Amino acid sequence: MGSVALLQGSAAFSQIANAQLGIALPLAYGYNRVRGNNVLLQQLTDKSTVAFYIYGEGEWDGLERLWLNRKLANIADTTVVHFHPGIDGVLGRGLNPTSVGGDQGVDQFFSLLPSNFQRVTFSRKAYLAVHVQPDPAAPSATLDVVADCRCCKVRQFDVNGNQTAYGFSTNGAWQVLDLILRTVLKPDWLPSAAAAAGGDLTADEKARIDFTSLLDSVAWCDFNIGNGIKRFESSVAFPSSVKLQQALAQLLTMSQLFVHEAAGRIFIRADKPRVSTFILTADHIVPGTGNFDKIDLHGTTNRIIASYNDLNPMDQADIDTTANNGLVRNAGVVTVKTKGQHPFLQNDNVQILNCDDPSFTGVFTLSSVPTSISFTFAQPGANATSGNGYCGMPESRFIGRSTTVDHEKHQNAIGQRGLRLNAAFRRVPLNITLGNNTSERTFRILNFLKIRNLGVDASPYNAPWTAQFTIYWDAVDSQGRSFAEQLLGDVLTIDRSISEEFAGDYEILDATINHPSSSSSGGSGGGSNSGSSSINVATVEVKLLQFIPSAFSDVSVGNAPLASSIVRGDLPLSLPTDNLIRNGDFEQGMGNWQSLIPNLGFQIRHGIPGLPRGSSELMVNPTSQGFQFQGVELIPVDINKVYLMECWLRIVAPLTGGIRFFCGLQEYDLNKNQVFHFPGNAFAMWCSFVLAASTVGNTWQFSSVEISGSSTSPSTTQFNAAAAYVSAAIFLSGDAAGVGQQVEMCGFRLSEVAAGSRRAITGLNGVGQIINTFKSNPVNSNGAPTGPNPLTQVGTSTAIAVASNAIQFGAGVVAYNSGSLNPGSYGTFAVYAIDPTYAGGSQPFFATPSNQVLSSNDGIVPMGVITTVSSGGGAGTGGGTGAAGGGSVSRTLLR
Amino acid sequence: MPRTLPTGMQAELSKHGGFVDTILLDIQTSDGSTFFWTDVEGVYPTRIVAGTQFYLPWVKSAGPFKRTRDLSTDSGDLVLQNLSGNTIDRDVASALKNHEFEGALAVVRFWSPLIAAARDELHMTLSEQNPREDEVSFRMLQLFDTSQYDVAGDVQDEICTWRYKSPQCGATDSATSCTKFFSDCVVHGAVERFNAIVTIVPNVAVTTPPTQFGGGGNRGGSDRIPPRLLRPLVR
Repeated sequence: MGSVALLQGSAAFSQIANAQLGIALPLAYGYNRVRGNNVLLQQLTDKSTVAFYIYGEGEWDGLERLWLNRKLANIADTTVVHFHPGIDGVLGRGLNPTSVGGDQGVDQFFSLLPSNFQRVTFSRKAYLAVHVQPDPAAPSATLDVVADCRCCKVRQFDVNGNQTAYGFSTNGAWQVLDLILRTVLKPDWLPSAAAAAGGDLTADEKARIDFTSLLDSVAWCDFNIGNGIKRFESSVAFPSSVKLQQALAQLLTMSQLFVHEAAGRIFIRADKPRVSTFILTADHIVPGTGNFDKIDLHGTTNRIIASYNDLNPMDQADIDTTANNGLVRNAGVVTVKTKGQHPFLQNDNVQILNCDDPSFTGVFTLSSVPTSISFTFAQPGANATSGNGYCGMPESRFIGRSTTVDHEKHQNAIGQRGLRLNAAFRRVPLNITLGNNTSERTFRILNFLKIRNLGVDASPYNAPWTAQFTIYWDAVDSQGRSFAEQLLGDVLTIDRSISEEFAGDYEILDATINHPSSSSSGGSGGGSNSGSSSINVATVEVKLLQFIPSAFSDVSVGNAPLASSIVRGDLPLSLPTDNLIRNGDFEQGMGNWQSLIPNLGFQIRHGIPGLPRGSSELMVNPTSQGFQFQGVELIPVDINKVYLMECWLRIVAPLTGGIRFFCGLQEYDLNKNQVFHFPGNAFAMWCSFVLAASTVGNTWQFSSVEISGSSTSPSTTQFNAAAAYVSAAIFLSGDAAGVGQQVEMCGFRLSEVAAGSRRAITGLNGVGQIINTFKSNPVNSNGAPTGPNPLTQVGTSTAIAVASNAIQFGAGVVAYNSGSLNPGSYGTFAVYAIDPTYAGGSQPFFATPSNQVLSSNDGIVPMGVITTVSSGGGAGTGGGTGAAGGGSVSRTLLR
Repeated sequence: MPRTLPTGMQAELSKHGGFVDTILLDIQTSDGSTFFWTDVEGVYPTRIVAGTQFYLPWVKSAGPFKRTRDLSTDSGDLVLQNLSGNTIDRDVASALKNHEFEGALAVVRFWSPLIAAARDELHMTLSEQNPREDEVSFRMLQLFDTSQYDVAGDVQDEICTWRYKSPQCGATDSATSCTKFFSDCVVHGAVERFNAIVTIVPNVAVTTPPTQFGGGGNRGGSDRIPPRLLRPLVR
């Protein structure tokens, strides 16, 4: 039950419909939703299926969740699921199919396959093997396997370069290091060696890494900015081959890092607030080389559009405030109270996040759903009360989202101008991708990029300056700090001796070292000698960018989870039913239902004893105004068919003050546009309304109505001629007067009435008996002629004349017109009509000398008995009735 | 986060006078050969091998060297004399003829003679060698050249993608080559490391034959249609 919400819209990488060879082997870090490359799919003789999915380059940490045919699977069940992390196959172990996951042995499910499938280990490839039983409830015939995974493990070090761990991490600095190691520094590595104590990097390999800056970056990313939120976390996948430059650029942007190389060492550095480490004065620069400009400003992108997949679930219910006991943990059980109705069911997995007390956060399986605005789950911990935040199901994670940040001052600054025209805004867009991320973090990243490059977006607007200088490499500042120490990304202070106007802090973007020798080889074909042509000392040309401390902020400018309903697949399994209204008995909570008038005045209650049907009910008790509940799903209907609508309800107290309670169907046309049942009358939008009233003692009652036929001016039991779909509607009128009016409903059904038959529901009384004679067939009914026997012999012929006559049944009198028949011989005959519907009127008449013929058809209505003779004058016997012994039309007419 | 200079360097730089740094160039080609060149002849400690070496004064100019923080490739220029030797076989040209300098490791140091330490050094690879009549020029590219490497560069293929006898392959037999097929892997005794995919799920879609040739090792692009397989992959 539960956890069958669809994964639609989520961005699973490697979405490959069929197996492909020749495609890249993905590389992924952090958390990812994965579909994989289906390289093996075999249906076995018992109709179960074995399937293998290649995920990516190992070593992956493991599965978080797995959905088979959109249902949450137990990842610990080794009869179904084997996850292989993508380590190396063990040499010498052989190819016996014994592995149930966790290693890179040959998978056990190979033993279920024919011998033409070569058993292999898929060495160094993370992959999934599943053995899935036939699933009649699967959404399609195609096996659908989606997993949430913890992807690549990474090496982790201390500041001295000692490897301290090898494991899963969402820290972007560790991921950047791993990417560099995999691609550049140690492509020939073995996971087993990396996992061994001390790791696998040699001293020379470690010498290529600046661990001081690396550890500083790791700490920068891991910093808790509040509520347990790390400053940056990184989850990203590269499903197709890209240049390291691109991949690094994305990872670095996601964690606000930068990378450069100096003296053979790679620096992975945090782009964070930092102080100036050198004061640049006029005597440090080559005369005439200083220059401040904004030459790149005009074309700089000023609208950054970030695409990402949200790591958090969507907002499917807001948690109430702490003051209202939104979250209460008591004796290891957390009770969550939501601000409005929530869509969750018992056993659903629900994630709690962004609440005031982070100890409540996590993913939990609901142990109960007492009401539509509350649910509970088990969570060890001290008793506590908190609130706020929201909750959603993990199925709604990894939804593709887009967030845009504009620098409006810059857009205005570079916008179109004209005499007496207002300055326009010109947007220069830049699209970036931020992997799998959170809304809050995305806003922070975008805001940083915006302000760092274009300055503070406020009036008066002043964009940051760029500057170029040629600086003596020997320069030492007034505090004894040498310029030669400075690395890319370090911050210099430009002294007022250089510029009164533009003095301030600037960051080093580029640095070009000019050794005097580089200017001494005329005609060498070498590079630029700019800035050094006339001097014989080493200089460095630098490009600087004005440093803006306010660009660095841990305060997000926005954190907007998207509201989302649960898009469930098939509702949890229930008994087969012909009820066209899904979840019409409310057993699945709010599934398929929505409240159209916002109020808190209703609950879906479960486990209620004594209901006439099931154990769940909708309880309506409006707190502010009327109530309208409607089915989400539009039900296709054929207006040429007959439908039966039924409901079970209880008016707890007599309706007063003009309040009325209805159950009915909202109609929609072929385009799914709502149609008024009575044209032009907005207050009569529904057909087939059951208008309920309270019963004596306010007991449960059953109401039903058949909907048959259609019209442009329909009755309440007809469809509007335009109707093509309907949805179930429950309505309590009365606006404010409806407040406090309590109604319970435990079932709402709509079913199709088979053509040519009648629903028993209209033919049975409350104890299951036939309601009246006309619900039975004529053979099983008793009726008595209202007049003399209508049969006479026609002259001396064998023909019989039937006079018009009538028969009294329990449900009424049926009159028959006169007629005649000729049995072709003389004798005693019972005369009858075949009238199964008690239509009466003109009917053909038949004669038989045999009693059993009178019971040979359910529609036989005897007219009487007559004996004809050759002399003529024959007449009906039995005192003028058609039935022997007193006119009863029975099966014993002939004696 | 400024770096730390060698001991004594800070004091030396603070002085109003001094010497121009010497260029020390250590080169190691892919065949292991080493070359030690400078613009001021002498014996200096080396970076590529242990101890000291005599550095030949063949460097005419080194630089400018550009460094960036935006993942652009750091680069520099190097010009060597091509006059020494004899008229038929000049020293530098001869070295270029006998060794492959493309991709050779080059460590450039700016050597301060007064404190016998390098103010700065750059680790690069040589490229674009261009011998002319009297000098030879090189382009120097940074070691960590991110434009030269692919991420997710491995391919899901029907043959093994490991380099034979690489650590990932694990084969240690005496053969000299491998066909990368499973049958050959059995011979080499490394079937547990065989990383090819030898099964496929039939695709009922009509598949256009691949028409794009070349393009290097990047087979992951979505614009390339992978070849369909006409026979079982088990070998």
